[in-house]
Amino acid sequence: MTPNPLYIDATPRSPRVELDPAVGHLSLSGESYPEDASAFYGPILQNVAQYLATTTDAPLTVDVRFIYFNSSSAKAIMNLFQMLEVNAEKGRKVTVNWFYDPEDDLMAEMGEDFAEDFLHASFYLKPDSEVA
Amino acid sequence: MLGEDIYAFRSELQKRNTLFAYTGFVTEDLLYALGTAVKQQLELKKTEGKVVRRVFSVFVEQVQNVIRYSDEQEWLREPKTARLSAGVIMLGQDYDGAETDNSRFFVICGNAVSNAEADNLRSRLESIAGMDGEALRKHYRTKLREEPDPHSEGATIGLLEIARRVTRPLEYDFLKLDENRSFFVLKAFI
Repeated sequence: MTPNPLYIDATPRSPRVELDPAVGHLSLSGESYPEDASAFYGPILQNVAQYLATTTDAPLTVDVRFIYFNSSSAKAIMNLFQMLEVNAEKGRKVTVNWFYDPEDDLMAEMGEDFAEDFLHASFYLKPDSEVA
Repeated sequence: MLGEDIYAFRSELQKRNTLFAYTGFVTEDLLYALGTAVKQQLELKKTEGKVVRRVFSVFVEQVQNVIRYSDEQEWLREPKTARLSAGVIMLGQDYDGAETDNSRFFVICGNAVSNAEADNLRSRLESIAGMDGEALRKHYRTKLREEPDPHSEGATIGLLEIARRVTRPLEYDFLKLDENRSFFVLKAFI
C-alpha cells in the first residue's frame, strides 16, 4: 500500500495542509480555529499515521507556520506531535520546524512548550518574519 | 420617539464603554465576523500587536464556549448544518477617565447553563483563580497531553487559555434563572 498524499486548502479559519509521502514532508500553515478541531485534524492524523505505518525508516520533516490557533487546535497539534515522537523513539528521523512571527511572543512560548515533549524527534524554533 | 429611544439604548451601551455588543443566537460564522471586527477595531486604535493577539485569543475562546455550552441551543439543518447558541457578547475598553496606556480591553460573554454545568464551571474557575502564571502554563500543558473528555469540547483548556492571557483576575457570576438553569457571565480584562 502506498501512502496517500493529502492537500487541504487554507480557509480564513483553518490552515493549508500538505502531506507529500514521496519526499516525507508535511506542512501546516495559516490560521486554526475551525468549528470542530477534531473533525478537521482527524483526517490529517490518519494520513500521517498511514504514512508512518507504510514506511519503515523514511524520514519525515514537518514545517509548521501558524498565525493563530485556538486551544482545541492546540490539543490536536499535540496529538500529532505525540504520534511523531513515538515514531522518532522507534528510530525514525523526524524533524519539526516551528516557524513563527518573531514579534509573536505567544507563538514562541507555545513552541517552547511543545519542544519539551520531543526527546527523540528534532524540534527547531524558527523565528521568521514571513509568517506574520 | 424612535430616535430618542434607540439613541438612549446606544448611549447606555456607550456608558458601559462598549466597543460592540451582540445578543441573540451566536454561530461559528458570527464568531469569524466578530473576530475580524475585534482585530479591525483594535488596529484602528493602534493597539500593540501583543495586546491584539491576546484580546483575539480570549475572544475566540469565550465565544466558542458560548457556542458549545449555552443551554439555549437550536440546530439548523438546511442549507447547511449550524449550531445556534443564545448568548451575549461584549467587547469594551475601560478608559479610566481618559484613553491612556493603562486602559484595558475587556471581553464579556454570558449564556444560560444548567445548574450542573454551573457547579462544574464554578469549581474549575475557583481552581484557576488559585493559580499563578507558571502554574497555569503547567496545567495547560498537562491538559494538552490528556486524552480528551468525550463530554467536553475543550472547555477546560479554553478557560485555561483565557486565564493565561488576562491582566486581572477573571470575573464571573452565576444568576439563578429558575430551578434548573443559571445565567453564567465571564469577564476578562486584557
